[in-house]
Amino acid sequence: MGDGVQSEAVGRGWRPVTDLRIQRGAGQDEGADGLPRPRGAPVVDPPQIPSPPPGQESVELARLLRLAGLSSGQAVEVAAQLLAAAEAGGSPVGVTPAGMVVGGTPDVGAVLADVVRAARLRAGTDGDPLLDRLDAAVAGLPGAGVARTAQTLAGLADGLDRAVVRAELGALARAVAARTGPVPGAGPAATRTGPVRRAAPPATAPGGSRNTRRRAGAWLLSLLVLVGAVLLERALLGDKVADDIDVLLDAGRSGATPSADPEPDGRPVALPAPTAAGAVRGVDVRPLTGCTPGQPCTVRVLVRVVPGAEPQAVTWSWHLVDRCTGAVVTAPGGTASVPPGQERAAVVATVALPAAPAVAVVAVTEQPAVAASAPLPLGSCRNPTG
Amino acid sequence: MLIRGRVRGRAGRPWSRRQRRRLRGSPSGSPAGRVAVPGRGRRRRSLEERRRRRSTAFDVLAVLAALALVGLGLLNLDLVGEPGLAARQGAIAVGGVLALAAFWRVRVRYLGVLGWAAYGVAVVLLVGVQLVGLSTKGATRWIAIGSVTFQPSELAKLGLLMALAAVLGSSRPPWQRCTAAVLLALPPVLLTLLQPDLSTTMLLTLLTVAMLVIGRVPARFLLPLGAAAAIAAPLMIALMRPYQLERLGTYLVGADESSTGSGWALRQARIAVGSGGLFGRTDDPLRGLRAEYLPERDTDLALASLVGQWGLVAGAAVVLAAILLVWRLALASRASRTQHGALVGGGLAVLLGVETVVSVGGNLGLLPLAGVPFPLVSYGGTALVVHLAAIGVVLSVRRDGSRRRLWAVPRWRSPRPRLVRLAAVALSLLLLSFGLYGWRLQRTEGAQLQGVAQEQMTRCTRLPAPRGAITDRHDAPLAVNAADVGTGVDQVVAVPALLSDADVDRLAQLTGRPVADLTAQLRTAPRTSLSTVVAEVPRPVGEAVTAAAIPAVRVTPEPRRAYPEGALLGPVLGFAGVATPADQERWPGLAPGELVGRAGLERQYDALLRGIDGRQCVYVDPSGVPAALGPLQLPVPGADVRLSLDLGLQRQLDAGLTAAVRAQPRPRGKLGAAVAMDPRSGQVLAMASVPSADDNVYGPPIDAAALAAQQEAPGSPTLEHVTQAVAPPGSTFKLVVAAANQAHPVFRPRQVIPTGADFTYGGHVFHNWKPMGPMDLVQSLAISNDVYFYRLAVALGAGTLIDTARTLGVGQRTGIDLPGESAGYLGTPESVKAKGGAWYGGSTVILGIGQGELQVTPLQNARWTAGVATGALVTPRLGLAVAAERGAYTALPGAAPTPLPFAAELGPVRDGMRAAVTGGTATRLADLPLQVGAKTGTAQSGGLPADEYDNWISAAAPMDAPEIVLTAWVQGPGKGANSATAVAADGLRYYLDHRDDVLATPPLPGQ
Repeated sequence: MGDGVQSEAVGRGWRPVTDLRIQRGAGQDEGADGLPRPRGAPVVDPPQIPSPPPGQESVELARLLRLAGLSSGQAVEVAAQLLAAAEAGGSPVGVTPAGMVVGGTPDVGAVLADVVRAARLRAGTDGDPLLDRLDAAVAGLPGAGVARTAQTLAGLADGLDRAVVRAELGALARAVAARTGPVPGAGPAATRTGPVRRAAPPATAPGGSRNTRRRAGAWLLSLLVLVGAVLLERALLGDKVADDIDVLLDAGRSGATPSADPEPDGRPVALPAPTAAGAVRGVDVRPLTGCTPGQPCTVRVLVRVVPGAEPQAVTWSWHLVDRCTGAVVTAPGGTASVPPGQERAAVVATVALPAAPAVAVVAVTEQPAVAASAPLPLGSCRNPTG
Repeated sequence: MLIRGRVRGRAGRPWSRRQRRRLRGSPSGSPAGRVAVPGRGRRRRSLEERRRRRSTAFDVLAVLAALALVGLGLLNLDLVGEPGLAARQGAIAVGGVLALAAFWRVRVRYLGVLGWAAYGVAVVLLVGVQLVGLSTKGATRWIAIGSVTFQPSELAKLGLLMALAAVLGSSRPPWQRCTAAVLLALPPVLLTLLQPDLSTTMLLTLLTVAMLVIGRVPARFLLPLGAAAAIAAPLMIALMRPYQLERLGTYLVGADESSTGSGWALRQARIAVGSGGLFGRTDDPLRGLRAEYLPERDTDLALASLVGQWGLVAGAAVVLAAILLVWRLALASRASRTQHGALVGGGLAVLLGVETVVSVGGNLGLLPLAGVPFPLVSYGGTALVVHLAAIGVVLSVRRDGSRRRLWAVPRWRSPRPRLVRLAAVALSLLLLSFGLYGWRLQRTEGAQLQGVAQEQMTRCTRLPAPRGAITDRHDAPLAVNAADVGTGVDQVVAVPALLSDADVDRLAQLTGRPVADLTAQLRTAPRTSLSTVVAEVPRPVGEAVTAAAIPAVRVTPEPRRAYPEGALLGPVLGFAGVATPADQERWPGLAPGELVGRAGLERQYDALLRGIDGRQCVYVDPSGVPAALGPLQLPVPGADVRLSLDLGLQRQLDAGLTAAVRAQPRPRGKLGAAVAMDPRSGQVLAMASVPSADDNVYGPPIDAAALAAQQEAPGSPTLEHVTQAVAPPGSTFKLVVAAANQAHPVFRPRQVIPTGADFTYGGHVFHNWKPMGPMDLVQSLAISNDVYFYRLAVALGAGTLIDTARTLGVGQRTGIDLPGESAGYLGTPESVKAKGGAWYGGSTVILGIGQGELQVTPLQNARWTAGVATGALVTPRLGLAVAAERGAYTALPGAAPTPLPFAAELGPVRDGMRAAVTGGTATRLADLPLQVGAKTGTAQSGGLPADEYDNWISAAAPMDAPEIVLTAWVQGPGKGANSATAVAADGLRYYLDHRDDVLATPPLPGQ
């Protein structure tokens, strides 16, 4: 059953919360896509399991032991490699996807105990002679010493098909890595319970710098190629592109007609009152003759009112606006009388225009309501002398 | 495994919330099935139900958002007056909703099959479009099956989306996925480009790029593609079709520079959005007509149309629904169990978002008007069905992911789509900013855009204001509108497009035209005609037509003036005619073809006589055909101007003058002028000019032959001789010389001066008109002793004499209210020298008798005569009062008389005038019943034969309180009955006989 469990653990896409020891119900299994499939369907071989992201990320051994049970052979192989590594003086970290145990630890006894405990967790390991021998070797470690125990375990391991066992261990490591995701960076993996750390030796730093430089160089080269292509395009096709852009802009202007509106002469004149209010329907000012700023100007004032039963007196004043500066002066206006039943009164009046290049004359009625005429522009800000 | 209290995992650690959620979320057979929490089963079920409800709400929200968009699109179609299209689109929408429901239930495992099938069918159909497609507006995009048309490029969006998702969601190496995706995109992109359908091509391209990005294709593959696109982009301009160039170019240069095509569309879209207000204008009766101005209002500019009709709120609802839908799709992509499904959801979210952004941006003018319809809103059956079906597919993906979580592929094997949420955030922010822009557009430019919208659909025709009348001082008409006096007609004007058959029948009946003729005329008139003259009728008929109040029919008087007195006052009254460029310059703002005063009093008082034109506006459709009557602004008639002239006295002077000229031995070309004036106020009572022109020839239309005859006639009949003709005043100038002596005494008035037959000065002999003895000033004035005035002029000196002459207005315009007045001529030593001549002693001598460097108008002569008679110098004027409405006259302001500084010394001069009547040269006036004073004159002029003279008389009466001054000038031998004296005598007699009638003008306010 041991190999079958390994295959399940490797093949299923369980998350860390998943108990890898769960046995499948009879008659069903799961495929690599996580969907249930009938028993007997081809089982995904370990080598087909997608490898973790590039790099030889190792899986923290403690993490692996928490998530997966080990067969007795796997436990022996791990223990043998662990002791061999400890003898070599490395620092223990974890298991690589190739099934190799990397690193070592001063407290190798505790780690070996964990390995044995992980193997014992599996059902059906009671009475397994190999596991018993491993257990005994581990128990005798304090007395026999690391070297001797390592030799013992190497002997045990030699009785296994170590290539197969290592492949199984590698598959387990990849499966666990797939659940949790390897985390790049160094650190004391044995003391962490979080994501598995990459077993990145410090010696890789110079190689990383080379990669960085190579990558930066590639980007720079790409940028240079792009700039070169743009310059080449500009040199060879610049005129054509410019012509095309002109065609494009001309097409956008199709049907455009120049504005017939004259340029505004001076500032806009703000009327001091609405053009109609109350009984006043409108006021209109019109010059009788040509008027020049600075001189008296004779104008016709036409006031339209709502007809009334009584005569209506209309009074107005002048608002004289300097169109160049916006200054406003007020001058007395005049009066007009609208007979009963009539709606208009026309009066000829004279207004003294201020001496400014451009003036606007606005008649503002005061009675019976406040309303303003449209401004009567005189003179010009453009040609003050004209 | 039974656990009390908190659910715990391995190693005794409690499950995280996420782990618990996942455990409970599994439907059955999952590890959660092993977890049984006593006493919490109810809560677990409740959470499960809530989760299911949330899941259902998720889908319902997405569907509701989609249905809201569809509904608003249907509403837009109905609002723009396309109920047929709305019904058709509604029926298609039902099919689309069924497709949505069907795809909602589809199993995710069939996504691949579905995608490849859609892709394959789309490509085949796109090929079919090239072979048997329908062409419209230069593009071949549709396939017709019976009456149903189908646009395969819309299906291509869904097919490409799902096919790309299948490829990019596979576990192949990145370069294979990237290459396959690009190769897959090429067929639909190229085939849509061939149609041509640039907008769909761009969308498919964008979709491909978006799928490559969210499909986690490494940047090292994407960036070269982007760089290649950037390099190739400028070269793509050469491949664009003209309409595509126009659209993109319009966006680049701005809609203001393009008045047609997409520029027009952009402008209309801005108007619709800007003027729609918050809640639209559904109560606007012209809503339908306004909607016609928005092109593509059912497709590309559907959003602008909706905002224009139902306001910004409706637009905001559309945008918010689109944002909601995009977010639902984006989040659905994260719930997918497989990467394939995730990419379908993410891709559709990006596609919908991009379509929405491009459409909204185009509607607001913020992006080129790319021709991208608003998804689910714009009219278009294929797009609607495809979009709804695609939404169904994505909902199916989400549903599958939600219900089968434990079957989810590990995240490292099936990473979520890249940047989908960021893209959704960006698209949402973009759409929200577009919405804010629309709101701001309404706030800042709403009023202006409303004005533009109103202006572009409004066409107005001018309703000419009736011109005011000119009357004499008793309101006798002198210049009137022809239609008012029965010599003109009223024009019946109609808007052909707005006349119903009943209107035509009624109009024909009223105008007396056969119905068939009238109908034929109206049918042949251009549909865009705003006014067609259908009849010219006499005033009573015109009034009947007006009373009938037929819509779109107006009656306007024929714009023609009539001068009932003919040539009596021709040059004085002048004439009115169509405005010339000079008139346009004089009166800025004149409407084309407007009638203005061109000469005489018509011009002088044009500002009073010319009314304020009204206008009849109509609303037209985009092709310019009137669709409805618009506002009517009635014209304000011009004011009447009352003159100071008395028609009776005028006729008398004219008759006397005409008789005097005709009595000349050689009357051809001889001029005559006479003016009667109140010396107290300057009011001109009569002003006769012979020969005179008849203003009725000016029409309009102008009687060219008659006008030519008048212009070629001898005696310059078109000139007003009282103010525009000049001649040496002769002895009438002696009043000025005598006044100069009183102002600067050199001879005492009663000082007798030796005279004789001649006077020698500087070696030159200056003759008297007859030998005379010693005389004083009064005697010399009475008998017009030339030698006395030779001596007086020499004694005064040229400077003193000229100064006094100027004081009396000699050589200056009088300021009369008539255009074209001549200033005359009064030379001075300086002015003569300046002209290259020389002022001799003799110049001063002959100036003493009104000859030499002196030319005056009859009005100047009358003015100084009035000055001598009253002691004040007046400004002659013809205008007496103005009335905006009949009878409501107000006085025209006039300059007050200017007292002469030597007024008190003028008694001897007046005595001389009186003596001339009682025993001097003007005894013909002696039999008048009032004390008349006068001065006669006869001057030689270089323009006349040797035996002909400029004969003058200038008289005032009564001399103790002058109320009339009459000056007459007649060219001729100057003897007997044909002299100017006869004209004056008859004129004064008429005045005295009708004095009360002449002066019987009612008092005027302000007078």
